[in-house]
Amino acid sequence: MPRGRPSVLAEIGVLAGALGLAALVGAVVFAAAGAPPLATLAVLVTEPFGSAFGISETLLEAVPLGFCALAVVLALKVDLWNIGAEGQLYMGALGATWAGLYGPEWPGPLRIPFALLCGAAMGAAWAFLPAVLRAWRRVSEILSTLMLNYVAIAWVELLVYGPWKGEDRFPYTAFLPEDAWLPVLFRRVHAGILLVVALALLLAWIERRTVVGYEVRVVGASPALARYAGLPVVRRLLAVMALAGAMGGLAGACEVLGTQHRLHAAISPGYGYTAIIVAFLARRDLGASLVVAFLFAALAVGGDGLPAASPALSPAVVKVFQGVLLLLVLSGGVLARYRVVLDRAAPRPVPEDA
Amino acid sequence: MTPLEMATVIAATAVSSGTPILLAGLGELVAERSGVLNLGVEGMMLVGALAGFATAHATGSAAAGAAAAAGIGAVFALVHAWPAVRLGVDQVVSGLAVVLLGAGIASAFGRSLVGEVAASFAPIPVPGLSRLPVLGPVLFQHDALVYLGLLLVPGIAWFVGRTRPGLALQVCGENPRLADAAGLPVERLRIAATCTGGALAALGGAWLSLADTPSWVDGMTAGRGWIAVAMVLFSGWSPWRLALGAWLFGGLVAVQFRVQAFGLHADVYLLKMLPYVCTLAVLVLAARGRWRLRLGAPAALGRPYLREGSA
Repeated sequence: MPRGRPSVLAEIGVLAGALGLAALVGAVVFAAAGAPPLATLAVLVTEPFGSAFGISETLLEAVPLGFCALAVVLALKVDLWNIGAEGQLYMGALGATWAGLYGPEWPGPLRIPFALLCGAAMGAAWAFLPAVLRAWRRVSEILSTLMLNYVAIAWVELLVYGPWKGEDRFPYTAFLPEDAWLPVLFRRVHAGILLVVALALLLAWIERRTVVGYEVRVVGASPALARYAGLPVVRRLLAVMALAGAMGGLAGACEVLGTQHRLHAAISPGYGYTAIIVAFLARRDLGASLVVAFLFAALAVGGDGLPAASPALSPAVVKVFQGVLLLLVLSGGVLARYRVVLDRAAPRPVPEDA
Repeated sequence: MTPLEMATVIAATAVSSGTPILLAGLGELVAERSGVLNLGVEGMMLVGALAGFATAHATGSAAAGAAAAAGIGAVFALVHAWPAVRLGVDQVVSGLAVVLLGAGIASAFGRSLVGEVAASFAPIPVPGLSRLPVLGPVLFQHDALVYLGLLLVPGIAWFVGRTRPGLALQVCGENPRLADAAGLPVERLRIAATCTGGALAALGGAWLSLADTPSWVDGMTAGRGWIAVAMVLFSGWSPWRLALGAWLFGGLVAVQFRVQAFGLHADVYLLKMLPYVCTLAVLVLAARGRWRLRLGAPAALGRPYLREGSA
């Protein structure tokens, strides 16, 4: 029978069950592809956590994924699906690269914030357009943000194969000057990780403790009620979406300024898409999305280790794992809203269509 | 080359290049007519492209490949249909899961087939008709899957609009409670429609790996599944307008590949953006006449129907 709210225990149970089942499906896929299932599953854990190198790589990947997850979660706060974090990432990378290579030659302490700001602004602009189309013409933001991903990638291709191409013959820009690089914390982990955590905490605080945050929650929960209460619904919607885009833009900016130090056409292996699952599994919560992003970064690092463990496997196998996990949590979430009633006395009614 | 010859070549390529979007779009149209929104088209196309290529590689028959793709696509669509229809989960999220799952499965199992060669579909000119000036090359000198797409346009328009099962499907999409009260098996019809959509999406993917560029390349659908979803919206759920949209997209692909051949100068990356920008423009334009389109949209699209009601 239906429950009012899913119990916390049931939710944790669903997550644990889903993880276990997803691992089982993963093992079957590994076996089908001709790899030893258990040893391969173990690689997914030892690779990201078993060494200092693994941990630093995991933290490194958690930065863009975390930013993209914030981009998706923020849009969900006003009940919009931002499928375009990938494109916002590319535009942010483009903005930061412009600032680093062609922007004003200010000293380091000014240069880095300016480059980050350029990235955030480009990302925000890229999300603003779908938001305007949505508010003005009710164009599905799912499709418009997605279409703009391909356009953003084509822009970056155009620049790195054309006017921004570096000295060598490859489709990369030149390296950014070193005073535009984000400071390194340890190994390859850069200050972007501090930025993403700080921004997530700040946004969560704004959401819970300020008037604007409260208004946004009302707009997200019921636009009709918000309009009736005289809230500027469209303006809040546009602002939140632009902020979401800025997060996506920062993902790209940090990739350029902190990790890659130059722009190329394959700067993201699909962080923007993975972020959608992260946002969903984190139950649309800003803080939780960073935790899930960290776990998914670990999964990706584990995936990168798969071909070394068994040549038959590609790193993309972890996508199967992610998809199964998402489906199971999704279905399990429905079941968690029901209470199991044991009724041994009455025989179970046979479903009509069985 | 005279302008007429040039236009003929572009139109012929438009019809064939539009085929994957037409097939996948027709499938999505059937599913949406029954009230199920399936955003997983891209994933189902990738699974179809790989299943078709792998089967053709193993059996040496492109037809067997297409058949296997359709079958596997229908079964794979259950991944969306079952949670969406029986459990009433959020169809946006479950569709996205299908995209991920399809891309992951195709990438995982396709690794050993990269660079391999398999049997492929060759053009079969229709006797007589293919000799017609202009119309011959545009419509009647294609491969079997392109013809299938062309035949399915009137076929599905007739099925959905004029037959009893088609009308039953529409009632499920408009008012499932009414359909249930009239004794129609709403859940089974919706699942069947979604699986039909999966089969057609997979065939669209198989055209890419068996006819267009006979090979397996990871991620070879390149967003066509998403464009198919957009085109269904653009079409206002009419197979005829869907065909128009698919050929429009095919035409853009055709122009993109022939710009240099025709001695036109345009940046290839700007052209690469064109289909996506055009789809966006189409979405904006489709929203303009929104009253007309609102009449076309199945009223219960994306809304689960569970007998228990309040769940």
